[in-house]
Amino acid sequence: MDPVNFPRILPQAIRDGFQGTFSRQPKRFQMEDSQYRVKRESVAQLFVYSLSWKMTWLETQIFEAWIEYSLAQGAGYFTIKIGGVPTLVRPLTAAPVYTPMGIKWGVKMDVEELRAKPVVSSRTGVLPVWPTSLPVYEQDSYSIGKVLPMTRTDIESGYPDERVRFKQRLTQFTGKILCTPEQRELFWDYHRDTLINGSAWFMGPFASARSTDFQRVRFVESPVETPTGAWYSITMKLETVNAPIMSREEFLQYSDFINDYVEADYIEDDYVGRYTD
Amino acid sequence: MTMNAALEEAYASQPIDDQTLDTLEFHHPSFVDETGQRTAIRVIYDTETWSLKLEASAPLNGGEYVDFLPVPFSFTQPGYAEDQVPTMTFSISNVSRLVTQYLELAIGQTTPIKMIYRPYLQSDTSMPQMDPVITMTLTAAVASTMQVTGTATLSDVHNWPFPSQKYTPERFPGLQR
Repeated sequence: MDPVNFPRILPQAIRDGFQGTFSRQPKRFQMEDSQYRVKRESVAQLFVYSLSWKMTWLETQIFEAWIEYSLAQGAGYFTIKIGGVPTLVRPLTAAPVYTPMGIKWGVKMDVEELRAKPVVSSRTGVLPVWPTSLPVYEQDSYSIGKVLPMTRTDIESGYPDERVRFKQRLTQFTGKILCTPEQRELFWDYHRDTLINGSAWFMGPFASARSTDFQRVRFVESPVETPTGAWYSITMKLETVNAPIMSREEFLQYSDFINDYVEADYIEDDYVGRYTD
Repeated sequence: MTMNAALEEAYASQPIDDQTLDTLEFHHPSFVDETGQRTAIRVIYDTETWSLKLEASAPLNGGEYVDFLPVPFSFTQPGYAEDQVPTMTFSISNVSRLVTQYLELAIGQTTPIKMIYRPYLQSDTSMPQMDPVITMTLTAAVASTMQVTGTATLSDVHNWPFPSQKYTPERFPGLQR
């Protein structure tokens, strides 16, 4: 069955409720050195969009009939503009959902697109760099989580054992970038072709209390795009093993204070001062 | 069974710019296409159809590029243990009914269904990355709406006659008097 176009008589999808991300995460295997190996599920990846419409009663009827007859009850492909780009998609089995919204109907449908294969270039031995035309993370929703290099007993009785197992400090962080429609396209092209669907390491922005610089980072999960006004927010979770930390020499410059703190037993002093005066 | 060096490297280091492509092929004399020509079920663990070259000794279309259809499946590679016949279990999506339409043709026939496992690499589709490829016989298959689950084994080497060299009149006509 040949793909059909989304009917012109129906309204365009609205921004509310829009979301796009890959339908499957790459497999990650933890190796003995605490690093992860990434294996992609397939060469070309499936991308899922959540689309929403606000339709009149008649438009909703036409939409239902269009799925029934033009899309062979939802089994067919159709072309619709997403982010201004004509995209070939097909409905997922769980969609669509109709909810009354005042005098109109809210219609939600999840669709999937088979994205093009990455254009893999020959190995250069040089890490790709975050494109200068892409923004860095917003302060809003940026967070860093240190993965402690510990291993802990998995027996659920007694006092659990713990020890440091790995030398490397894995740091995972989440960030959100705000993109124009052009930057959004550039981001997904960079993610697919240069980062081979997000599985390659690259020099990307990383901010911590120590420094705000570019570090060797990699995607942990597939990015998720949502609309923000006329722009797009792309939320991403990344990891690095190169998070900068204060050197031991620099740390020792504060050793007097640190030793004072321990020897003076500030905790007890605070306690005495606060509750006995 | 010998794996090519490139496949060994891919299994060991999972290079991100290359992808292992697992394929399954099913053979039976009753599998014919709409023109009546002998065909085989060829599926690949990916999201797109791939044109891959078969080994020269393949039972059908040897040395030719053939299409492998993207059908979701899972499998466990056969292990090799003492006193056990290697077996391979697999599950293939049956939502499209691609597999059952052929299985129904083979029902009632005594000729076993052959299953061939070939791994390829995205960077080299000109040959399977294993020589010889794993060829097994389908011993059980259960089809439901969602999937076809089956088991395939190698030839039952434990029950081969030993010694297998026999003095028969066909081989030694002088035995006939």
